[in-house]
Amino acid sequence: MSTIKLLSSDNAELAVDKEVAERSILIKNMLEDVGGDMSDQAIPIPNVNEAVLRKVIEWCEHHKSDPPPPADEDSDSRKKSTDIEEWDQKFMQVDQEMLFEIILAANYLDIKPLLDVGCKTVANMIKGKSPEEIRKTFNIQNDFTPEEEDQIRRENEWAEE
Amino acid sequence: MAECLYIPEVLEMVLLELPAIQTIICQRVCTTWRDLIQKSPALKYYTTYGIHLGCGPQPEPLFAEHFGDPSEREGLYYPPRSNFPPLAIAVLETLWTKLAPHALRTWNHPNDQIPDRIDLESAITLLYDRFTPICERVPLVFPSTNLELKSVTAHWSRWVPSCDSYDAESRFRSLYDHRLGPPVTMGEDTGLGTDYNVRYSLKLAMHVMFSAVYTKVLRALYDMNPAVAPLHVDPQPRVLAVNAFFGVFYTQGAGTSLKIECYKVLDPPIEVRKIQRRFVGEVRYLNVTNMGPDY
Repeated sequence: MSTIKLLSSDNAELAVDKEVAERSILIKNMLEDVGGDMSDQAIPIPNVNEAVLRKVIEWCEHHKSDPPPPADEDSDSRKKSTDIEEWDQKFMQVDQEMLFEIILAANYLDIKPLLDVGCKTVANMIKGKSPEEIRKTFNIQNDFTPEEEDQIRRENEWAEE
Repeated sequence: MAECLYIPEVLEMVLLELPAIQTIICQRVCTTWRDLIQKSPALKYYTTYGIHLGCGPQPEPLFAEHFGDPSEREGLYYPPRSNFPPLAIAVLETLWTKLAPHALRTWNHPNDQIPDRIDLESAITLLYDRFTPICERVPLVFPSTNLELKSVTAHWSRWVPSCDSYDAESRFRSLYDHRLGPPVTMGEDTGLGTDYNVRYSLKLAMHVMFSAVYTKVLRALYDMNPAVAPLHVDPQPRVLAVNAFFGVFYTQGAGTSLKIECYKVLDPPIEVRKIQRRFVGEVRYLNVTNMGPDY
């Protein structure tokens, strides 16, 4: 099996099985474009640092033999957010900053299933929280004018406890 | 804010993973979230029906046995698996959980005392004002639902079995009728079954729930009402209540469809027949001549 090298944003070179790296559609397309021969040259991943890249590769290693997602991915194959498999749940037990870095990396590298798991994890952090608690959790600025806030509060009062 | 939640695609994916009611509430977090929820087609659909865009009601051929070859079934009546969007049911359930305790409290009076309904009236008024925005936004049934206008009755009391307290009804009507907004107009552009009326009907559902509780509470009889009574005993009570209030039937028989009774008075009666004809002609998926033998 051929290996390729990835170069993180902080200039760390990581060797990865080609098959594993190709979980990333970005890398897969890149390799196809150059004819697959990248054995002597590291592929720069300028948006992802070493720690995050290692984490992403760990995920890809574990999921390397997953069947490819069905072409019609929007239909019934969409799982509920409670359905994160156990290994992924453990994998996502990281601090918030790392979690968001992984999501950004998955988005950039185009690894849809990893992005999915990341988004579901964030959704689980939001679940059951009030808008104020959500703002606190993610450090979001409340940028409504008092009038806007009053209006949107009235529109959503029905759902309050 | 966490950087990745600034990427609309990522935020959209996250919000689509939440229960629809919470996705709606998330509009209150900040303007970025609000704007995305109101503008993204996927989120707009999700916060209107409670299911994901593209996962809508799947047509199910009811006439498979009658019309063997699938290619021959083209254009026949294909009702969705469920006529009720999950969000409509969730909203009515939320309404009911907030309404029921008031009814129970009033009911706990001794038999020889007529319960004071001032509390109930103010509770209903509060709920009415709170639920109006969402009821105007969420449709009771999917727009493609095959609606049959069963009858147009003057008084909603006929919907509720053994409702005999006309005074309570008229009192309630005088209290809340004007709040329902303009009556269902049957003009050229808004025949029943159009999006406008489908949306309107969730508000009507709310009104009927209030009415039933209000009327029944007068005589402490609401507990006898089959539409209301199972609510605190049955494990799946609230959806049943919605069905009962609406006289909704959905069975697997050929040609059976959702039936909604409309209580608005239409004058003169000739108009009613005209509307019924017009209505039947307009509804999607409805082909009267191909209705099954049991219809």
